[in-house]
Amino acid sequence: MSQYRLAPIVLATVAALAPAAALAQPTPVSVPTAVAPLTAAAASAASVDAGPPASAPRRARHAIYVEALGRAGGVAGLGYGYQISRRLGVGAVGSINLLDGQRLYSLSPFVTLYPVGGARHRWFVEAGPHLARLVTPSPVPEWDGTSSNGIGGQLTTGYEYRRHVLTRVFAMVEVGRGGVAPWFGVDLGWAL
Amino acid sequence: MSRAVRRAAAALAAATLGACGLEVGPTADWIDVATVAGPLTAKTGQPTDGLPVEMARPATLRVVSFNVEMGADADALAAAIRGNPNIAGADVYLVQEEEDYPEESAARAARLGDALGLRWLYVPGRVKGTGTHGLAIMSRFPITAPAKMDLPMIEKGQQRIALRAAIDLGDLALPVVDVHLETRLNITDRILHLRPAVIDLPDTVLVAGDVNTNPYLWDDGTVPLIPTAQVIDTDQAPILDDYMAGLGFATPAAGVGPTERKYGVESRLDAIYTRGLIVGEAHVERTVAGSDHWPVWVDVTLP
Repeated sequence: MSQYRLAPIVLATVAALAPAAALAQPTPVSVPTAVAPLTAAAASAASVDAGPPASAPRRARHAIYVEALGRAGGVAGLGYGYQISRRLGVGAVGSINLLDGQRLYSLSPFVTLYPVGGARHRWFVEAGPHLARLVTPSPVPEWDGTSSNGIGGQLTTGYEYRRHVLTRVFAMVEVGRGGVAPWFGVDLGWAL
Repeated sequence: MSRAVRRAAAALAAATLGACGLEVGPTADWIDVATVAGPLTAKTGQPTDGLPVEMARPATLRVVSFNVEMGADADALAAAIRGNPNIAGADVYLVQEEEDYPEESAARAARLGDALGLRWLYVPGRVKGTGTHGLAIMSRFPITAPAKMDLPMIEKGQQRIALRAAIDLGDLALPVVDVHLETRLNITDRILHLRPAVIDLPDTVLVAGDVNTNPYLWDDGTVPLIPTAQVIDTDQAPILDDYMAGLGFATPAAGVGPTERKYGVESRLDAIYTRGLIVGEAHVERTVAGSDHWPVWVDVTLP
């Protein structure tokens, strides 16, 4: 069977997205040279502690990212998030994994809460269902193969950094008919 | 849509299509173990204090499958077996993970066979350190026609074998097959791994062993997809049962529950399959210590 490594795919994704991320950079704001240090420090503090000021550039409401482990079902998936407000968002992570001929389809929609943090550094909590389908084709002529479907729930919490790039590190629990299992994951992508 | 956005979309789509798989090597034929020389030479013997008590052909045969986790302390293992009334008097034991080292007094299978008062056959599957690692059969009845098959090598795995022999019951030579499959496989590769050893067996036969049917999907033989196993049925044991049932085998161990508990995870790693025989439900003896597996047994009514 063919074997594909995930790392090159992820790296290719990052490389391909780099131009798009560069295009998404906000236009620098011109400030008088004498007050620039103070202004920058104040802006930085504000963004960390209380979110961006009203005059800040448009908040990056959309996020698209690659998720390693986490809610993806397999070892990697693709995620999208939309920020409804400063403290609330929605999103989903999905993946299709081919595992020695077995096909695992996974989709995890979720609601995101940001109880603590500013525009860049935040603690997040997410919850939502996990829908999965596993198709096992037969590798031999004397057997027909099988398939199964399942639904469970996921509760995720962790740290998020969001400023042009999106980085998340999180822990989670998966709950389903098989029981409860702890897990973890990492997201890397872009806030647009 | 800009070129950059199109490239990004294409790359991200590719990222969701994670694909991986282990290489499964070629199949091999059964070979007479007497033709194997060198470090993988088979050994056989009978208790040093005399032959087992000859018995008339029984109406039923109690068969045990037991992964003995290297069997280093044969005396303790024998004591554990003798201490369980359900398996102490079994007629045939199909044993996995036996080892033999020149610096020890005798092959561990020989020591266990001696301690249990049984005839024994040890067939190495691979060299391990200064010795070997393999399968064994122990029986109150003569063990004849031993043959082994190198199971397909799995990428990242080790050489595994199946051991086939006949239990000589006088007017019946009952074929038995002892197997020990690779660990971190998905069910599709597990079927390909086992298939050569079971696809062309006679109509009347018993197959048993450590088939390592764990409850996970594996990514590249490395990462168990633990969360997915909570949501969807990824247990390999019932799927392998279904495959064997398609070959006409009864699956008496389908309902026995776990045969191993490790890191808090219980798995039905061991199995017994019969064809052409009347068989009751199998049982697991979870009070037997001395290994990371529990022995499984079944009573077979002889034709």
